[in-house]
Amino acid sequence: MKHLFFCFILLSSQLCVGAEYISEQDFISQSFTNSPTMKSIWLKGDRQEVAKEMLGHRYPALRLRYWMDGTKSAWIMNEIGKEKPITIGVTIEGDKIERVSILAYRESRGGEIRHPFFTEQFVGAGLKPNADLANPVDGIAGATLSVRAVTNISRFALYLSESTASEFAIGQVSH
Amino acid sequence: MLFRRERHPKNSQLVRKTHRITGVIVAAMLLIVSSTGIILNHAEDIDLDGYVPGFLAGIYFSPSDQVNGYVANEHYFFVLSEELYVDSTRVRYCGSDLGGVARFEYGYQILCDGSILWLDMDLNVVDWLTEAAGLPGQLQSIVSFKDDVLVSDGDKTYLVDIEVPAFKVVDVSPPKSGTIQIPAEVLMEESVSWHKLILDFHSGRVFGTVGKYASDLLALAFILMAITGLMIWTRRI
Repeated sequence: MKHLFFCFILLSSQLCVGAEYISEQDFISQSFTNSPTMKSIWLKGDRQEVAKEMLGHRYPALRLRYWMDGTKSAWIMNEIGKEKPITIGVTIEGDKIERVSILAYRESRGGEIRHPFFTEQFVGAGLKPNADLANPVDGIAGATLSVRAVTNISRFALYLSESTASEFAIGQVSH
Repeated sequence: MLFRRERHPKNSQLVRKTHRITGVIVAAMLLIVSSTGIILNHAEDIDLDGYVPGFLAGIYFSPSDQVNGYVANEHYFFVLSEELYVDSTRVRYCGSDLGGVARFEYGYQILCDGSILWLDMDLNVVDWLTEAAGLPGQLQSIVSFKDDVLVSDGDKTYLVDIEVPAFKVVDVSPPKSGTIQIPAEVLMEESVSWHKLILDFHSGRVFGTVGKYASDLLALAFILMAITGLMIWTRRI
């Protein structure tokens, strides 16, 4: 009976896939002390070229919503790991990552990327001149593509954050 | 040597006849198996990722296969394997819940997995609105209403301004948008790759269960031919 119970628990844990871990609303509200402003950024021309370099493909939308309060911004993007999109939230303070969260994971394997031991590696990371993350990110066996997806989205979010900040600086905000 | 000991004209004739008839029967199948085998052997060098024409893909579908979706501006919108398709083109992940499609001035708004997906007239994804962007929760339907788009959660109806975005409660009960059965030819397009078709021809599975057992019979025929051929050869030596 004990063995049966153990097998049931084990099987249940294996079948718990395709989960939403945190809602987008909760991610936004947890990322800001004050109520942020929702903005949007057009992803055309150079930005799509950068997306191609960082993600390996064009970002699959022409416009992206993000949330901002002062120098802090929050970005929610979907990126395919192996077959299904992973919903990833990235909060950026200034030019450094403050928080990375996996909001929804739909692949059958590799869901370990949601755990803090992985996502905390991104905290404090900025973009190096060669567009790599300044922080080294350790991979997870069996979740290589998911790790890559989170890393690439973090880089792209940093790029977009810098891009919007520079637009603000020269007064050419396009939203 | 084994067969020389009991040489018998009648037996010899039977063996030759069996060998000949079996050879004729399996010849056509052998051509298919051999040619598809050569192609599969070089699959990496040949681009087999393209899709077969709809009439060939049709052999994989039965009349009982039925997918429901929506039609707007002569485009078919439907979900297969949690992916949203417009006509035969995969657009993006949609989960299992396609709530409807509304055409508006700047394209289409699609209620997909509780979110609104905005496609422009060229069917490019413009935007993706979720509850974090202010979208009301538990939405069940979306419809075009005059020049506007309405969404409903079954209790309240909201007028959508997707640009802001804003969702204003209105005192209108939106008409239900009914689903339609997606025509088989739309489903068939871009659904079967050349690699799959050739592999299934090679294995016989393209003909379903019958093909599977026909492949078994073919294999048995090869064995029979090998035995009868060996018998003929040994008698001649």
